[in-house]
Parts: sequence; C-alpha cells; structure tokens
Amino acid sequence: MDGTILSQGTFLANFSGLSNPNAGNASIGQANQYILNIPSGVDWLKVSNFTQYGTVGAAGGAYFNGTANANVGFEFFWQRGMAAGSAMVSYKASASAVVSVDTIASGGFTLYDPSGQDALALPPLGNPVAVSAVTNATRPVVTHTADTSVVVGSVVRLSNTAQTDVNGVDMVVGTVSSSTSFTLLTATNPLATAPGAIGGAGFYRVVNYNPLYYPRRRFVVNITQATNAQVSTSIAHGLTPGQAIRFNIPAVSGMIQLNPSAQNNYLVANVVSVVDDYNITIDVNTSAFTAFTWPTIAQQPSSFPILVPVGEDTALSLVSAASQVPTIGGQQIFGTQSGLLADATTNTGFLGMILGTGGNGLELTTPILGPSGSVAWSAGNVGTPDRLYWVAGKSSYGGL
Amino acid sequence: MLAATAGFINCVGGVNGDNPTEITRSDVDAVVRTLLNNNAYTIMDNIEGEDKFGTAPVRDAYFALCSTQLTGNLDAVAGFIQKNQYPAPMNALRSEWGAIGNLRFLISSIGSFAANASSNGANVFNIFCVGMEAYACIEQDGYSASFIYRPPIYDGPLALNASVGYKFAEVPRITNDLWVINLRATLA
Repeated sequence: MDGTILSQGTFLANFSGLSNPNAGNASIGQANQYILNIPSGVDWLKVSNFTQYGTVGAAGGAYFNGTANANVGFEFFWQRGMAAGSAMVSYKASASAVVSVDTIASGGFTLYDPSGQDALALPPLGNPVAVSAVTNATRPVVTHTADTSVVVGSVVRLSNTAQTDVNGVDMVVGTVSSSTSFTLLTATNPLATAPGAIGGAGFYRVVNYNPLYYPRRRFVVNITQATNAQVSTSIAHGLTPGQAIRFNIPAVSGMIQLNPSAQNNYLVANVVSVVDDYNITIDVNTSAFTAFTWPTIAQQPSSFPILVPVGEDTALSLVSAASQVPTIGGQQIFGTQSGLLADATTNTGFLGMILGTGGNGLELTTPILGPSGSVAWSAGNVGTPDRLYWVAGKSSYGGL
Repeated sequence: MLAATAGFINCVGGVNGDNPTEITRSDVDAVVRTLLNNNAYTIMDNIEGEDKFGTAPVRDAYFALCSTQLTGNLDAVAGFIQKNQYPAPMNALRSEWGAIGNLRFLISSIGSFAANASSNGANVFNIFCVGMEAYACIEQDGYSASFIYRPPIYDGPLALNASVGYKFAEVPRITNDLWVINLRATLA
C-alpha cells in the first residue's frame, strides 16, 4: 500500500456559466472549482497545469474575483495533514518565465467527503457567518463579516435574518463582489417577487454538499405564465429533458393549479428543455394560471414552493437522447445514469478532492489562481480553458 | 433517499416563532388529508375500541417515520394517543410511540433531520408520512449488503495491514411520490 499511486487523469478547466471578466478585451480569468473522484481516499495529490507550463506568467495580472491582480499557478501539491483549502504552489510572475513558489491557505485543495466523517474535509454545513444586512430585492445582496470561503456557485443557507421567507432556503451565490458581500441567485433565477422588507442581522452557512440521492427535490423561485412555462430553482436542478416532475405550490405562491389533484388527473409535468443549471421549461401551459409569487415575510410561516422529480417520459426523453446526461456546472453528477435511465434514483456519494479557484499567497499577499486552472479569454469573449494533469497517491504518513 | 427526494410541507400551526413550527394537530390533519386526496392506502388496520379504562380506539393509519427527538412534541399534540392507551397495546410495534388521527408514529434515534435549516437556524426534523407501497427497496443479486473484513495475512507478505469494506447491492426508490410526504417540523 505504501507509496501507491491511486489514480491519475486529466481535465479541462471548467468555465461553465463564467464570462470574460474584462469583456471585449483579451484576459485571463479564474475557472470554476473542480472536483476529482479519487477512490479509497487520498494521501497526496499533485496537479500540473499543462497549458501554463508552456507560457510566461499572465501579463498585467489574471482576473480573480473581478480584479486583475492574480498570478497563475502551474503546479500544485497537497498531502494529508495540510489544512483544508491549502496548497503549495509554483507560479510565474507577470510576463516572466521565472518560477516562484508560495503557499495558499484557501482556494487550494480540500478533501471531498459528503459523509462528514473526515475531519480534514469540508463539513456538510459550514460555520455560521454573521450577516449585517440583506437587501429587499429579487436577488438579495448579503453583507457579512469577512469570509473568503464563498465563491460564485457556492450554496448558502441564511437564518435569523428578518427575511423569514429567505431564511432556511438553500440558494446559490450569483456574484461575489468582495470578501464581505455577495448576491444571492443568478441573473437567470431571481425570486419571482422581492422578500418584502430588508433583512437585518443574522447568519449564513455554506452548504457544502448536495443530498446524497439523485434526483433531488428543489425549491422553486419562479414560474412564468407561458405555453411552455419556465421554472427557476434556487440551486442547480440537475434535471434532463424528459424527466417528469410534480409541484407542491403553497397557496401563498399563487400558482396552485400546478399541484397534483384529482381535478387535473394528478398533474405530472415533463421537462421539455434545460435552459441552464437553474432553469427548465415544462410541457404545461400556465398562461391562464394564477401568477407565481415568492412567499413574502408577512405570509410566514408557510411552506415553500418545490418541485419533486417523479420519473421520466420515455417518448420525450428519446427525442433528445444525447442530452440525457444529468449535469451541474458542466460536470456529470457522479453516479448518475445517462440516456433513457437518466432519472434513475442513485447514490451520488464519493470520496475525492475539491480543486479550488485560488487565494492569496502567504508570501505574495495577492491572489494566485488555484488548481482548478484558468481560462484565456479572447477579445471576442471566447474562452479557452487550461488543460491540467493530476496524479494522486496513497501513503503512510506521520508528523504534525 | 426520502430526505433527498420526497416532497415536503412545513408545519405552520405552531407557536414557536420559527418556520417550520413545531408539529400541531392541524399539520397532521393537513398531511392526512393530502394522502387521502391522493388515494394512498393506510398501512395499519384500525384497533377496535374495548371496554378498558384509559384506552381509546385507534384509526387505520399511515406510518409517520421520525426522530426520537420529537417524542415530547408528539405528546403535546391534541388528540395524541400513547401506545399504552391502545385497546390492544400488543398490536403496537416496538418502535411505535403513539398515534395522532390517522398517523401512527415510529421513532428512531437516527431519524432524519436537516441541520440548521429552519428560519431561526434550528434543526428541521423530517417526518416521513407514508402510505402503503409508497417506496420500496430493491435488493439485487439476492442480497442487500455485505461487510467485508480481510485480516492482515491476506493483505501482504508481512501481514501489516487489515482491510475493511462494504458493498451494497440495494436500491431504494419512491414508487409513488403522491403517497409519501415529508412533514417538516422544529422543536417547540
């Protein structure tokens, strides 16, 4: 067992949902975090950025969280015992081929273990972070004490704020404007209606893992009145065309005609198309239905509108068999079936490593893009992802 | 599997100021009414009333699967019947706590809950109210799970390491989502 190489592989930096941080100009930006599936646990991991090995450092700085002040790492190393999120990194300075090294304390490597039993992995739910204000908007802006663990795509759960209709609902982080502020939801899945009042002091926690079993029920934040209604969810749905869903819409959300009942023959809606990670269209004409609203603070306590996957419409799924791949952020959800059985109930748990987007170098004190790689954007806003190689191993270990 | 995929409704009849609230009779009635409207069959037959002090007849019932943490809150719900108040307590299951309306509650120390998921940041307990054949467990290849231990002698020439593992050949699946409802509640 000692010194065993467990597995190795390669991947392209994932930039699903990202855009050129310097629109209209050539630039280099961070990628999304990437999760490696490494069976049997891992004791050491090395990631090499093949693309960045062959080029000088980003001239003028790569973009990290909207600011062009980052260097691009090209080699990263982690071994068991190092703190969650950390990495030893090699990088090249701006427009230079000279190699420098540093350590990052966040945005590096973090063990992935949804069981919550590995003390070095992210816990299922992060520690509470104090919130000082939440705006009354369909995409509420949350102001909080400094916390760098939230990135675009993170899922957070608010509590104890005055927005009782937002508390307890898992929501994706659409934008991160600084280490003390982020915006809930993305431009494509805002709440149907604003919460009703500003939210004051409270807390949020980062939700680090999805429920183990797929397919999953989701909170519904909006449904349009249309021939093929568009349904928006608060976090990535992971559904595919052809999957069948039912709704549970509380009276306070208006569109109760979608609820199954004897009058509508226990209505099942089928997914016609997947617009993006947070939106689908369904084969139900909601034009004459009551308008959908997000429950307001004044209507609390209440249930929340949800959708529940219940199966698959075979004929509809066969129309687009090639798209029958359950994905989130461009990556297939681990353990899911593709094709006609894309709706199959399956346990998606695995052990692995989260490759982070980067963080401040301890010596450098400015950001270094992490082991998830970077994306080169053209002046035409076309992204070209880095190619990265990795090798993971198992070993006995000791020390601190 | 039920926690991840079953549809839910929040308890809203309580007074603890949270969302969901603690469980109340109106919440139980709402779940029973929904299951009835969806034509779910009850799992347990009724227990006929008998001429015994302190007992009450028990309706035919759906099962409600929940955490032992909820026992005190269940005791406080209007119309709750302890299982020792059944006319024939020997018909109660060992894990059963009692009945409210058409729900009979089975409790477990590893009952499901969502951590810090309420409006006030409290744990939200999942009470899975299920009708007959609402979900199933499909065991493949004739077995459900196996726990495998290999002593050190099988692991290497120096017999230094043992290995332990498990494998499942079992798939849980909701067979009819209309017959299973997750009633979510916080503690009073």
